[in-house]
Amino acid sequence: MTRHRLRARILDFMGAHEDGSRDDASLDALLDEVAGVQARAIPAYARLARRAGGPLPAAVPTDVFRFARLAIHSDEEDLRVFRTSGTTQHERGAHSFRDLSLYDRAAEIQARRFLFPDERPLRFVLLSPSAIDAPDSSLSYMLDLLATRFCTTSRHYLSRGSVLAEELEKDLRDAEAERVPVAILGTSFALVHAEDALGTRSFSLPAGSRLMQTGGFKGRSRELSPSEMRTRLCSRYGIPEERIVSEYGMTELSSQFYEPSLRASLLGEPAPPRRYVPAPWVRAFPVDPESLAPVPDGELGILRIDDLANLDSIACIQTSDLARRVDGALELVGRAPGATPRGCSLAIDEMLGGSA
Amino acid sequence: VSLRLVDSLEDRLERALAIAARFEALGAERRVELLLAATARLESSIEPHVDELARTSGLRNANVRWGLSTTFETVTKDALTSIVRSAEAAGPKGSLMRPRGLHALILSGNVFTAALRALYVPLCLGNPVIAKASARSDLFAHLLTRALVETDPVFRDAVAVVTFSSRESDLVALLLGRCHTVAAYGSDETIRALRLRLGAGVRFLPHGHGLGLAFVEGDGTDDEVAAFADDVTAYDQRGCLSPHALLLTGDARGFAARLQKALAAASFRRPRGSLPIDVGAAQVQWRGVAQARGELFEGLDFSIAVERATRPRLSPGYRNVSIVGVEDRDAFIALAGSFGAHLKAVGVGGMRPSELSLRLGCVPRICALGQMQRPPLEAAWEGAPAHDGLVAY
Repeated sequence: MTRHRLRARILDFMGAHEDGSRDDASLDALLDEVAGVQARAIPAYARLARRAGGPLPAAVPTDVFRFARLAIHSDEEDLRVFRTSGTTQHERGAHSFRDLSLYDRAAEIQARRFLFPDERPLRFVLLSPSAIDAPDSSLSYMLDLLATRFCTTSRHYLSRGSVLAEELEKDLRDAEAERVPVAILGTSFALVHAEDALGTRSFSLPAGSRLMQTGGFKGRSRELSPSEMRTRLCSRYGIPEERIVSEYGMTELSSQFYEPSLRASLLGEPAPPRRYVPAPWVRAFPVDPESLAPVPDGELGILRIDDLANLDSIACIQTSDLARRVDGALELVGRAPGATPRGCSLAIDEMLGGSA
Repeated sequence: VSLRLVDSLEDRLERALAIAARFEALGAERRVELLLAATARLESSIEPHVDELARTSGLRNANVRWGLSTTFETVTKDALTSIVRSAEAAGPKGSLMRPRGLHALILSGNVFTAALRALYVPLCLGNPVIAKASARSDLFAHLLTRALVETDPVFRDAVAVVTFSSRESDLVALLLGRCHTVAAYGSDETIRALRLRLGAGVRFLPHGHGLGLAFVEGDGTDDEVAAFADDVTAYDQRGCLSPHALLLTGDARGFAARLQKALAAASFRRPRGSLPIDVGAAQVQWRGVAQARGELFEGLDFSIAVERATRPRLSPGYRNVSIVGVEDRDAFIALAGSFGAHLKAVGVGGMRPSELSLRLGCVPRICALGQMQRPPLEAAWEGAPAHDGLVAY
């Protein structure tokens, strides 16, 4: 019953702040309540919470999702389990959901605000596997969800890790000819693969077109700096640079962060800095890696994210991402190299398949 | 800058090649004398450099002093002579041992004193050495070469430390192209990249990724617990000989509780150095998993994880270590074998080191607890004798 009531209150909170307004005092109180429920229901979190000091609930390091079940319900009640990619650690982290209503609501509100504030009919070009092909990918689920809410037609152009270049070219040429704006949504490494697959072919997509990239390269393609990537994408697809944005999300979270530049451009506002804006139901701040206390604004720390939409798992997450907070938004500096030991020691852990 | 460095490196290489015959002709006995004298000279003049060594290595002063003293004490006449004698004895009967020639050395920055053994072994065998150090931690190597040069002018040409980025591919090519042997310390990626650039006939001595483990039969004595704390504390557990986990047949939790006290004492004597933020991030993850699925014993600058697992989670170093219970010695041997050549040191308690024999292909240095980071100068390295690759017959 508590969970049911909390879920309703969280949905109300999301609805009340759909416009991006923040009420951090109420958010803090709700997060405390949610974390309390979770600490009572999840043994692994209870052990962590017992040792935590300070005014904030304990945050669970993302690696724990690889080793322990972190859900307030039994696995028989799982509706969906999203898993982290298996490229960097042998064991994949699992994020279990009893229902997806909070996830869906969070994704929809954030996407409407930062990707589709103009509510314009768009054709979706998805450089990701479909949720049917990748049922445990939270990204595939989210993109398919957005397709049901914000586009006229959508198609996936990634199959078994390869870009369907001919189909992609044909459909983009059709969009050019029909003057239908396109939203290209995909992972950074898929976009790099598309760059390679498309060769010299370039496009002038109709006004209103936009592009969202997400995720790192994870060793699946050559790496490009964010600005170099934007320049290439701009030149490839004919989409203005300010309408090319990055999304930041994690399997362990239910909410996403976006750069606000596309929204500002569509609404005719001045270009904001390229920093990630947390959703109003998310508390995100870098912490000192030793004390785990928040670091002052402008200083580098490791990013902690408290996501109210993670009701059935763990709301307070400690990532390995290095970040600084500036004017309430986040500059991501990069992902710390996990448990890769220093010097001539190594991640033999990974090489040999991690711990049992 | 690159042009000046190319000129300088070119010059150093030419001089080292030109001195090779004279350096060989000095004879092993004289070279040993000079190395001993240089070590004494450096040891007596090192104190003013401790602050800077601490700053550049990231270690605290007390740990720097420990590293220096335990490294200097390995340089003895017996040790150096034994390296030469072993090399002579390894050749075919009646053959003459000769140095292979100019030796290139690619140093890594994780253990600041590692330059000493890496320089001294080829030098005592008569090979001139050009060492490439990383910019952030080349001080000890420079101090060492300065002491050598001040001891005898022959070292002005017979040894040099150069500092440049590995991305300076023209300099790397120049260095690798002129040397007869190349020893490289660093990540497996670095080793792979260097191997691809070597010319035919160059003898490559790679020292890639590695780590240490410890094994205790029984519960371990208090002395063994304290000795293991020293192994963890040394170089802030950043070396390829550093133990990431201790496996024991006795009570893991009890050992961890005793180790917590021992590490608190060791850390008081030799506090941990600064924690890089990316290591801090990894440490948070590692400790969090231990808390969630087992037990974590923490101190001011260390932690000990006890988890029910069949194999330990390797830690990010910086004084984070796992204690894992194993059924028996065979279980440890099986686990150690799974690390293959990457396992570079095994500290042993509850038995004599000589009683532990590991599987083929797994060739760490096996030693008593407390000695993991104190390899003798003449010790075999990764299963090969110290002179391996550095002499011809």
